[in-house]
Amino acid sequence: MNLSNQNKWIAAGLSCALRIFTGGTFVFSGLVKLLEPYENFRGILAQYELIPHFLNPILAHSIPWLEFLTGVFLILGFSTGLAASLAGGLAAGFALLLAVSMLMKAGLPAHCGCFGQALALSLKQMLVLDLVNALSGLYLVLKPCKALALDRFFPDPKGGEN
Amino acid sequence: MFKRIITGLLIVALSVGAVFALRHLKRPAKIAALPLSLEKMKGPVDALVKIEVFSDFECPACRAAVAEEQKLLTQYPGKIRIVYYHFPLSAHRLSPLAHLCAECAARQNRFWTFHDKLYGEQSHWAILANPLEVFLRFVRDEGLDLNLFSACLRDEAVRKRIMDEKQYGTSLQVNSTPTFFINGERFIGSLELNQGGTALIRKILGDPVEPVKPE
Repeated sequence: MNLSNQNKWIAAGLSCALRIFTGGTFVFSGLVKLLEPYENFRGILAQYELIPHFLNPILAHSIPWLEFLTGVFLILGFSTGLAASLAGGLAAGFALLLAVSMLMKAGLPAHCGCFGQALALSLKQMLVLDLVNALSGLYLVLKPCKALALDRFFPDPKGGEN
Repeated sequence: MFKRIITGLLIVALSVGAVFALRHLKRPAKIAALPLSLEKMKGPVDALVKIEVFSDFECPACRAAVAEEQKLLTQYPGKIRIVYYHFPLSAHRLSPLAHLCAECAARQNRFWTFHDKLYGEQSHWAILANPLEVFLRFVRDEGLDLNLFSACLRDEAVRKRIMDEKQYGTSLQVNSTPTFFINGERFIGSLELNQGGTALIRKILGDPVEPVKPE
């Protein structure tokens, strides 16, 4: 195997690992919130001073579903580009919210509430995870993992392999 | 393209179905409401608004919420009943002892003054290795019977009552403190109590009920 092929394998492996990791994180994060009363997540959102209060009920209803479905699409490798863009965008948004809140010392909960009560990560740990997922989303948009992906069964409208 | 859209919709439908099935399976077993502990109630029994509070004595957010509760009682005199439930969080090392002492104060009809002292001096005792001395000072200040109090601390039934209240909260899917149920509707934290909670109370009492302005 020459060096170029080896690099391609590494890139493909990394892409698939990131797809499963980010997809898994999003499924878990969405699911734990969906299994709890929605008010629990709304209450966590209310503690972020930067989020306008009137948005909390809408966000508490929509974010968990968005996370869960984005994660499912990523794991299944269906519309990977779109799902990766969404995951990257959401993670970047969460990271921005956390970072700005921390910098401005605006109101923040003791833990982010990102995984409901199932896993209490500190705000710094969550910021790192969000940044990893944001970069992972970007990487997956540029180099989507095609192994074990439903996308293989659908012809790419642009004429590519996907 | 058509096949892709149908597949997408199918994945969404199956995922949503799986979530609803899991919700149904994971629903906590319903526990019958606990017999009310009159010592841990504030306000008239027949008040139109009933606020159930699941709270932890070592939790700073719960301390912040006490002021909001007090504000509501002042704004709507005679219209609100507050019922306290123990919900000691497992992450808080000193909570079990604080709740035990508060429950023992309740057995001598001094729950609310003890409650106020625990929250009022939370920043002091919550950093101590063993805050029992501070709690005993509260006991002396309140003129409680120390012998009864000591016997109560050793009483297993008292610990069970605290855990029963926590379990009751868990059955209602309470998992953070403070959680409020205002006539059954859930609000988390003092900010929600102050905003959504106050709006609901005004609605229950009939708009336009103007709150009594604190002096």
